Amino acid sequence: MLNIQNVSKTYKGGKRAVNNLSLEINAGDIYGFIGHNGAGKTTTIKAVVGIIDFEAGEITVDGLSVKENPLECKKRIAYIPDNPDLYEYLTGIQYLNFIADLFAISKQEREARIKKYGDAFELTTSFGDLISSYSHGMKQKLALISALLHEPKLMLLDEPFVGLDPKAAVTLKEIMKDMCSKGAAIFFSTHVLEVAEKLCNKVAIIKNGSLVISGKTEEIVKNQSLEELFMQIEG
Amino acid sequence: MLKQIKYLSKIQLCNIWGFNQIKYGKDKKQRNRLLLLLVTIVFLGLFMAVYSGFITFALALIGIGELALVFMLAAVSLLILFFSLYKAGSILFDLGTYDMLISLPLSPAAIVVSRFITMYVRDLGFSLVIMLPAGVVYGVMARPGLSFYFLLLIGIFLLPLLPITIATALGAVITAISSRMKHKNLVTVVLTMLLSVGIIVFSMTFSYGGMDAAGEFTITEDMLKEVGSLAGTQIYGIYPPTRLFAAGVTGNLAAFLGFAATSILPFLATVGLVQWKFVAICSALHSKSTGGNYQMKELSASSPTAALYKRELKRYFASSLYVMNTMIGYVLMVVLAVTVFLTGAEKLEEILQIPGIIARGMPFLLAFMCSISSTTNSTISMEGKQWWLVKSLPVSTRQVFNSKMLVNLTVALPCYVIAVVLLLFAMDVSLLQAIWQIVIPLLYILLVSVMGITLNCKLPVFDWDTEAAVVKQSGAMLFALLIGMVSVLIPMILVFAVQEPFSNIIMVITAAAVLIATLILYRNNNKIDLRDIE
Repeated sequence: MLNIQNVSKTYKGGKRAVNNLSLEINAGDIYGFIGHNGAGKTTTIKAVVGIIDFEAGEITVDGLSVKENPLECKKRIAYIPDNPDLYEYLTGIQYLNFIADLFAISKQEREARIKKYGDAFELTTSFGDLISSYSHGMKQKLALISALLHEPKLMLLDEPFVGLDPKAAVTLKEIMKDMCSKGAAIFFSTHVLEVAEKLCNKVAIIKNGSLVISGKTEEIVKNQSLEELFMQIEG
Repeated sequence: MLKQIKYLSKIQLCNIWGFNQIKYGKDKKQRNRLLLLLVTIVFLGLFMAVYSGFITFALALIGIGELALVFMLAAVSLLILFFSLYKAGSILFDLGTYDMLISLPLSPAAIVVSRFITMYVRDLGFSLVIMLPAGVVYGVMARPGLSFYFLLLIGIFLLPLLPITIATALGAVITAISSRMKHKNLVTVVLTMLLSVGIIVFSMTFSYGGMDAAGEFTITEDMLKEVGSLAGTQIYGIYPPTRLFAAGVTGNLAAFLGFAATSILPFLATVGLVQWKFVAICSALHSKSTGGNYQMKELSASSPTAALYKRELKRYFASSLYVMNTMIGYVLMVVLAVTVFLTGAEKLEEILQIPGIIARGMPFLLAFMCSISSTTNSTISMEGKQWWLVKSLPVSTRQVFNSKMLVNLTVALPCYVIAVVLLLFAMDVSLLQAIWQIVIPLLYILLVSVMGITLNCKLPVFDWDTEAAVVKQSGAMLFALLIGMVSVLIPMILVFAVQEPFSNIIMVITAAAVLIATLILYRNNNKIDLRDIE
């Protein structure tokens, strides 16, 4: 589903954020991406989504190159940043309608999905209000709903559980499992290692832009917790 | 409280025109952008200073040098009033820092006073660059007593107070009215636009009135004196502090004290009033109406381009500052057309004493107003922290840029149509002149729509704290203004320099050049990778 091959990204000023990174995420995977602050998680995710460029390597989504077929890749992807800055001057429903238009979702489908996810996240009654009046958690939920409208094959999330209330966090986990059971893949970065350990069938740990370890969670973790493993790697 | 005012003022003033960011910032791009802005401000200041000195010299030569001081005072007051009208509301009631400040042990009065001090220091610049050269030149030419220099200096520092007071009062009224309404931004835009047009029409009225009274004239010293005196009388009547100032600096101490009182007392009263209602106004501005009772309804589907365009339109009208700064040129176009329609082109040409100037110059005058107004000059920067959204969506560069250009066309074309129709009715022009009047401004509207995108792609600013930083002070905006103005002035000068039919050839060349430039820029814009814009 997602193939990251020898990708490197250096920012202006010489900071090498990602160094020769290779990862493969298959359909059905819930893949956790773990690393310290500034390790290169967000850079990697943004390179996949097409927000930033990268100078070396190749990224393919469902066999399509993100460099050569960016629009086709984006149609298959959904991205939620850690701090979703949305269009504050739109109401929730206007924003969802806007996203649905861009993904060419039919009227009937969008109505059904907006209602479904709006009720699941208990946000429906606030759809008529301006996004500027939403709390951080509500914006997070709205961003999640907008990401689910076009039934993406690959969902990329940056710290998705930050700001979500416990009920919404449970809802999100259930949605993730449901998506993966239908052949989608989820790739998300997190600092909450217990969640990664319980939810993800695969994890990757990145340190200073380089991949340290990746693979099936139970094989990597073995007889210790993910937290213990992470602390060992960090030193 | 004085200590609080001192600390707050220091914090605000240290970053006036981005000084602090230039000093400590590590982002080279941002530093260069701010330096460019500073250089531009310095350049404009020098230009105003030279212009002021020159006018004073010319008037002093014919013996009415003191009127130069009056004119310059009126000019400074009008400038401060016009610019402060836009800024007053956003500076005084800046909600970005309100939460933080009001939670600290600070009195609202200290917050308000420090913000007034910030506005005053910014506007003092106008007073200094215009009045100081005028005063120096007058001093050299008229050789007044020592008290003149002393009183002039005090006067320069007092001058900004009254215009700031008026602008603040009007701005605060607009903000207070709009804060109670659901569609705050729309109300602010409409009220501020009405006031701005009112100020412009008002300033045109008294200058026109002065000229009208002079009747027919050839340019002699006596006629200039008469025109100057009449204009001075008009200004005294409309803005009495100018009379007090003129009398004061030339020896009438009572008049000067009157000028000081009319400057200081209303200012203090306004500060008192604003600080009294400050918390209430900020709270009202803070409040966002939430219903929390939405029920799912039938939704409508649009194409991606239409969806992007609708979103862009909402973004545009969500910012009163953005609308005010980009619509003013188009509104002026309509004001000009209405003026010509009501006054008659022939009468205007009589006053200007250059036959055919209106007919030949009108296409360029309209083009000039269009060139100072494009919404696209800052449309990419206005995405701000939401720029990631556009880049992550399955939309092409062409779709994104087309939607942005369509907003400019939506705003410009209705004003253009109204202006052109009125002018064609009002003016007795040949078929060719009518064609130029239709074609030239339209081509410039297209050019600035495309060029704005080009410049904003090259000079984007996403890390802004206030919209003013991108709408009024960005490099893209400044370059767009400069290039737009020069691109209009050059062919206009050439058209007036040659006789017909050569002027028509210049028009053809201008139209072709603008069209080709538009097409080339449009094609190049669509090749841009959005990821490279950061």
